[in-house]
Amino acid sequence: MSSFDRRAWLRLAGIGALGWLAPSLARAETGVRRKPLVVVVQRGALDGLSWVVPHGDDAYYSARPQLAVPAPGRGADACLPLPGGRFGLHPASQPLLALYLEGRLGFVHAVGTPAATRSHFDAQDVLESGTGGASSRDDGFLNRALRSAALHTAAPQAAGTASSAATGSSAATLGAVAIQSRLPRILRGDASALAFEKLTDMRVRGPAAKLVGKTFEEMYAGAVDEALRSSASGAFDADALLGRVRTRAPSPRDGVVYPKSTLGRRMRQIAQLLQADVGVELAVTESGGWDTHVDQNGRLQRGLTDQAQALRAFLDDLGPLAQEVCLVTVTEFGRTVAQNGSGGTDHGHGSVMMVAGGGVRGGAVHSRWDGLERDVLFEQRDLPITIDQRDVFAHVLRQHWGLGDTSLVLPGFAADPLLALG
Amino acid sequence: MQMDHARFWGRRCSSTAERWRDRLKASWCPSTARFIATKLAQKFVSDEPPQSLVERLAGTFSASYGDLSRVYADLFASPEFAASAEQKTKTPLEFVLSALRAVGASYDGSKPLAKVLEQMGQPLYQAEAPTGYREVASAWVNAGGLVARLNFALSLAENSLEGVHFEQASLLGDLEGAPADWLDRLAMRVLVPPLSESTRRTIVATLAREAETKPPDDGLVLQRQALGLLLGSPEFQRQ
Repeated sequence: MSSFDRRAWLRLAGIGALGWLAPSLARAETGVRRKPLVVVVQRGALDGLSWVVPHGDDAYYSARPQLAVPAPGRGADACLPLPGGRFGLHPASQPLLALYLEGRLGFVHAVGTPAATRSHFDAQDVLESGTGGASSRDDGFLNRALRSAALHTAAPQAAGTASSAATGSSAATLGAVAIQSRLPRILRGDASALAFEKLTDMRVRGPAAKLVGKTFEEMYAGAVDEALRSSASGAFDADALLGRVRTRAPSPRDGVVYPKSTLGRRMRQIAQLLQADVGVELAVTESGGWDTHVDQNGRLQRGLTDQAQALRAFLDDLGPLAQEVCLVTVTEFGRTVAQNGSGGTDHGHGSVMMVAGGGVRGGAVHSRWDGLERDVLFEQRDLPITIDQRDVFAHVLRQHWGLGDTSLVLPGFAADPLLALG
Repeated sequence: MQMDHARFWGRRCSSTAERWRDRLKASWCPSTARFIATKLAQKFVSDEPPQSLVERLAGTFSASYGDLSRVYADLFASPEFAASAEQKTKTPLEFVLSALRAVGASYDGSKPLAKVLEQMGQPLYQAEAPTGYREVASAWVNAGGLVARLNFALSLAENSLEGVHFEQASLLGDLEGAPADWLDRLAMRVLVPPLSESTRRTIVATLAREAETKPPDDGLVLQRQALGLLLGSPEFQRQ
């Protein structure tokens, strides 16, 4: 692709002065609660070239004779054309197409972490620590974002205690949750965050649960150990708050059907939490099954169907509230441009992120696409990374949360000025 | 510093190994000694071990060229180790195993117990590579994990965990009279470290309220409840 084409593409894709997100009105400085941010981590390295298909590139089809998703109009499993002519959406993602066309959902292509690793663990570590691989840190960057933003948040949250907002050290509100059994690395750190797989997990169960729960609460209030004491107080506060969610437990909006899958269940619970208005500002969850070394087409057909249904149901279920939410998906790296010998692809480099919600200037595949010719590929085999994941997150945190300074959240990272003009 | 040339990492070694040893020796790094000493002290003494202990262990490590048996010998003979009881919080696995052993439970290998560990944040055989399960309490002590612990304690006491069973009658059968009379005996029996006054008072008060509202019919309702509360108490979370 010539440089002229490239500039044209940049304009077309809306990168540059336009930015990705319309500025948010609910600013943290005014004491208003931060708008909900929902992050889905796609673990296992999702093949961005199958999700958002570069059907305009011949090199894509020559590198994947059996695996490539056909260009629009070429059979039943062809990709769905996206305006612009270069990219198409995997047919299993059809439920997301309408949102894209309405401008409520967009993609960022050839995105990733700068670390040149092809290890899932290392790449997830780099992604979740937000360090770009330059230093090792124990905490996750979204946890640091909570703390940084908390500096601007003067007012207590709806159901919380006054003291928690300033320090972020108490679990008195459900500010940040992970809907999965373990707190993921991305959310680990000094700011409190809760992890649970199901709303019902966060309660003391069994006969006489109420009485016994009260007793535990008293025992732990007197515990000598500070960490135990504060976690317990977080647990019982959360139990009380989640009790409200459980009793209100809105059933999905009319016509909304979540897939009966792990991701479907998780997205539904995030929707319930947001609808119950218990102060959730950040919800993280994850999906798996993306490590498609073999039978890629079958696996992606299932995985992308499930994902599209779950995410679409989530945004539909939120109704008007979806306007307030920003939903981001991210994976640790992409996959090789060429297919392998077992009907799959191997660990690669650049992939795709999705951004959706009310403030998102969607309807575009934001990219600095240089094509898939061998000489532009990373190490002559993988989609190069032309946009750092941290640029996307920096942008989201700035626009959605009003976080002015991301230097604590993403240490040593200078957001790309070309992308930051939004 | 002199060293026994026929030994390396505490073992006799061949000439090839000796060459490797010399190479390693040349790159021997004091921070390696401190790193390993810190890990061991953290494992056995405290999440934040005394610096003096770490320095001593690192010294032993360096002087013995990495002979871990000598490092362990120093560690276990140290006054810091002797004083380390109840300094650390149990990991989920330690908590579950200690509770099962405390009540003398049998376990048939059913999966639900693995699920319990996952809810507490330590899924079996799924330590995060390459650092492994974390040794410090901050990795385990969080609201979600704690609720999972409390639920486990209550279910275990009720014998309602799939695949897990203990003889309630033999553990609890002889505890008669008012809870205040037998609570300490039960606490000793299940190896809970000495109860704090506030924990003791809270449990006794709860059991008294329970006894008022519904008189126990099979005689062990209060004892089972006491057991669940003890296993879920802050004291039982300590190593």
